Amino acid sequence: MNRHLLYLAMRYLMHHRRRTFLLWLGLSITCLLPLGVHHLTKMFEARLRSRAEQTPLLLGVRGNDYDLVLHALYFRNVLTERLSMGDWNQINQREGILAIPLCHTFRARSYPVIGTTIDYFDLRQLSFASGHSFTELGQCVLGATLAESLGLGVGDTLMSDPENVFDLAGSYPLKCRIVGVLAPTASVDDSAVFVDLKTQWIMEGLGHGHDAATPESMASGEWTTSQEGDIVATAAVLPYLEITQANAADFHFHQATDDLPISAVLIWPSSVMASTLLLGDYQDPSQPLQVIRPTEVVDSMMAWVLRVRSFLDWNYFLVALAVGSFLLLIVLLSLKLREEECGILRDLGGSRSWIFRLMLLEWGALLLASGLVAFGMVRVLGFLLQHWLERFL
Amino acid sequence: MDIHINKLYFGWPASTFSLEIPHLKVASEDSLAVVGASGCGKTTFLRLLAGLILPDVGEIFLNGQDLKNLSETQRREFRQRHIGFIYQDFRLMDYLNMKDNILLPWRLARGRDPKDTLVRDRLYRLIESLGISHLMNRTLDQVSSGERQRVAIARALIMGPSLLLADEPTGNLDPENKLMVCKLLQDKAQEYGATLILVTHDQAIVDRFSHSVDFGTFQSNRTMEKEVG
Repeated sequence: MNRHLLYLAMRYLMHHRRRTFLLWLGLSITCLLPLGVHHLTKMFEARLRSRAEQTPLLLGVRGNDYDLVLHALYFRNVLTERLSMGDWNQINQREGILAIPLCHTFRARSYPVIGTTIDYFDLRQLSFASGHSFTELGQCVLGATLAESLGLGVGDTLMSDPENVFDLAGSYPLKCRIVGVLAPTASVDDSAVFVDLKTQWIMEGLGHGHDAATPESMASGEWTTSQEGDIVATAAVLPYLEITQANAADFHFHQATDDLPISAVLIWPSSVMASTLLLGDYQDPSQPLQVIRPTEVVDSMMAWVLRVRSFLDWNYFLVALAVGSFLLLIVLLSLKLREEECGILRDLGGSRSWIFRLMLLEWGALLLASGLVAFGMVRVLGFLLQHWLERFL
Repeated sequence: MDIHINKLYFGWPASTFSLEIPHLKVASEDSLAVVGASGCGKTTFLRLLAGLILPDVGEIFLNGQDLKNLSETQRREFRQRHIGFIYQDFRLMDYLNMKDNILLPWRLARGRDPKDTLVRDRLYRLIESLGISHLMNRTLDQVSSGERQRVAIARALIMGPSLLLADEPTGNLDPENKLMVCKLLQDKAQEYGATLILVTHDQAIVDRFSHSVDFGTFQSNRTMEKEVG
């Protein structure tokens, strides 16, 4: 490239700083929007897919596949229809199948509380930044982001959010002791509270602990005798809001374990055959439960997202066309404004092609700068939005 | 540079204006003042001499070279190497500082000919002799009209031309600057061994030239016969 040409083009752009800045800004934004959407969609797709790929199969109540995937993989929503521990037992006893039950109904300080087993940490390859996994009732493990944003660590406590503040007879919040904090994984696990399934059921009120019936409490009316002769607690008997060493033995469930609810089961088959057989067994639409492949659901979700993106791409194409037309108009007006300058350049010995290349270089430099800035901004935005995506997915 | 014009006729398309010069000769290193009323073709004459436009009829020989026989590229290169232009309104680029304005013809010639060092030497000699060394980093709005014209003269001389074409170079200057710039032009033309053709309305300027042609008179008579030098 002719260095004199480049020098003159740069001098022109530098001299008309305001004009150059406005053009650069307009071009940068025009490039940034489609590039940004494209990059974010890609990031979104990659994250969504990687989580789905980590979980080969999912068991849940037959219904909306998207709801089940969003619930079990991304802890996004609460399912009203649930399956039981018995269903999990059935699956878990099959040969070549490893199944992890999951129950998510409650939140603590707005973060999802996930009831599961300690195998979840191994299968998701989650390691502990501090502390250890839950071993007793009332203990919990925090995701890295959650622990950091709430400023909590091992030894602190976390209270679950009340189910309904207007329902005094509903389940009571439970104070959990934090026994571990997970190392960051850049996934939704970073923003969740993990508890043992039993702790989760206690939060739901399916299990509870309270003072035992004594002659004194019977006399005070806290306990009464039903017509059948059973001893029944009145509303005056309050459940324990925290599980401690002293009261842990008082916690009990009024249902068989197999009847207790879970919301989904994460399944890791050891072979393609085990996977195929399982899928076949749950294929019948009349069955209340279904086994799905999360990747297929994510692909179908992404197809929908991509349809929206293609609509946006068309939109950006039209916007770019409009911006391009305006730019052409600006170029033509600029040529008109610079007619005298071009005349001088010609008088001094500049060829038409030289003058054309000079202007082309000016626009080329502007476009290049805009493209580079847009590209850089996309990277920065991607970095900044990564955190948001981590929370979302 | 020898100038020889023979039976020249030029007319702008879609205009009644025409310029006829049956015979005009200007010897090398001589100078000529061109006077005449507005619209009589003085600027067109300079553009014809620079090869920016070609006559409809007739020939213009510069150093024996008929401009009509040169291609557009050759005429442009000829202009780059041999012709310096000075305008009434200076025509300096507002986005360049004074030094870059002076060097513009060299940059347009792609900086290959003449060599960097030669141009640098010439630049420093020129700005020194024109007294504009202190203006080199200034922009157009930081210099006066007289200073702008001196920068324009330096720009016209940077390639060492053998023909200087000045289109009313003193038109925008005060009387004191007018004579000073005129003398400067004549001195520089002499120093560079260049032929000077200067268009002016000013009788005081014409008086400083040993030769002049009145385009108005010649045009009204439809003839122009002149030998200078």
